[in-house]
Amino acid sequence: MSLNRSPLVRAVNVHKHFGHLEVLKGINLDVDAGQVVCLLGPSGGGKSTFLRCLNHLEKIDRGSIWIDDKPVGYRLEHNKFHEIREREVAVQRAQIGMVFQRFNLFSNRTALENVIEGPIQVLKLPAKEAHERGVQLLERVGMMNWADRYPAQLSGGQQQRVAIARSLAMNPKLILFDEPTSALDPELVGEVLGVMRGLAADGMTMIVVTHEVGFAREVADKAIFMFDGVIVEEGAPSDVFSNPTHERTKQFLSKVL
Amino acid sequence: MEELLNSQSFSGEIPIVPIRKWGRWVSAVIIVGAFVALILGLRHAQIVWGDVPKFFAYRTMINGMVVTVILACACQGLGVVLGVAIAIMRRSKNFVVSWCAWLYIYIFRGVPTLLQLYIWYNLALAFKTLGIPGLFSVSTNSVMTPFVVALLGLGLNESAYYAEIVRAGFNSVDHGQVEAASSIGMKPSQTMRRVILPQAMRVIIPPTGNDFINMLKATSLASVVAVHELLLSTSNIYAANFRIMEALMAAALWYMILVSIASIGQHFIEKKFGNDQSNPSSMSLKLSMRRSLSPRGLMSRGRRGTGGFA
Repeated sequence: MSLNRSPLVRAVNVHKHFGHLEVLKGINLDVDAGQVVCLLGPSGGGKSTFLRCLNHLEKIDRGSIWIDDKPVGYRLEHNKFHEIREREVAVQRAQIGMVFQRFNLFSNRTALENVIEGPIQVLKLPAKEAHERGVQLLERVGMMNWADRYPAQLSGGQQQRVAIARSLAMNPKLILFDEPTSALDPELVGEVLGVMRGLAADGMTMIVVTHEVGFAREVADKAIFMFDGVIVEEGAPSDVFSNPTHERTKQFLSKVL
Repeated sequence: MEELLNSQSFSGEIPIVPIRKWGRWVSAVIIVGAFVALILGLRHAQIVWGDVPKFFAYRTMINGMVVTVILACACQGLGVVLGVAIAIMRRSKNFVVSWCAWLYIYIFRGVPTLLQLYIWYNLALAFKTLGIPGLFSVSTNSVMTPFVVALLGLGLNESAYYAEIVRAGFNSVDHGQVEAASSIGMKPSQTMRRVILPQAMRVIIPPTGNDFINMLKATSLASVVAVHELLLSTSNIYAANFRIMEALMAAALWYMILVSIASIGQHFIEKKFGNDQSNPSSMSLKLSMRRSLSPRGLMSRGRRGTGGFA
């Protein structure tokens, strides 16, 4: 990297296929620290797959993904990418938060236990310190009153807020959001987006796959439209949403706006 | 309707008359009648009932009972340890390993337990000695004591079944849980220990209790390979005094007691592992007994389990 300040996330010519189906056909993307990037587009366009490649939940077939100038999922040696073991990938993933469409809270642990699991097990924080931080984070997402509830006792919006606190607890450099509000009842979407707005305002680097055009327009620094595994349009939301240049973006926006 | 609602006598509430469930009453009467007939019949049976408690407390009988408990625990223990190992092998991405585990399950589930016991019992006919050629060897007969034969026969058989139980437990854990664990940087071993196993336990524990109860009874098969467990002790007793039915009744009583104790234990273990609120159907023993034994419970079984939060 010859740049002075290289981006936090850099995806170079990322390809991915499942069997014969080519899901990603050469994605290039740079995300600077502190930026909020929203990925939009129709389902099946490869947005979620790309997001999952960023923390190596999916292996890419070609290209490279760099976070903090280090390749994700590989070790660069003698100009070759060597696959690294799952437990070494785990060390990389600890710095990348992820929030899932289906929340995926640990169902056998309370809200607070979910939040402190990573700090205690992975960061090896003392229990007391992890506990204090966990309480602070639950406070931040407005879930302190439900700290001792199990996920099954919480609404979708509440679960998703706990899930955001769980990823924050790892002090990530970056958080990936995979359609965080798509599984929520409409009246619960607002509370989750509210927490995400707060994170963006605090300068968290976020890559968000979403169908919430309003949120993207308001919060994102960069909006990206993906169709059929390629990025067809990207730019500041104000430009992209008001003056889409690509025919497919126009079609998509006319349907969702 | 207007007439009724406006009439003087109407107090605001219309009484509800429940459906009369005659079928339940008829079947209950028939069953109680049959039960009484059975008791009356047993009074005329040629069994010296006074001998049953006597045999029940025989030293031989109690020794046999102790052997039964030890054998059942040992076999179940072997079954659980091997079963978990085989279930993990079955998940392996290495084809040879997972195929091996499949074959093991296929063989040990396919051959009758009694036949497996005979095979282990007669192992010396095929192999005079056991060991690694050139390193060490021991005479088969000295290793394969009746207890070891029973342990292998029952334990390996159980492990094949148990592997399937564990596999079902692993499969019951949503893959999203594993991804969530990965996303916070947990290593595969941590994910297995902290996320998959505790959640799989909910599915694994109840059938484990059933298996143990079955194992308590299956140890009676070991009587054919000369293990002095409860059934063989019983037959030793009646071989001496020809009070066959009396001795068998005493043994039946012991098995019932062992199984009852195991059932109570199972209930508490189930409660412990099911206490995460994601499964609100777990009831206390007292409550569940009260519900199923009370006349209301008997009459309204269909309404059980509709509670709990959504």
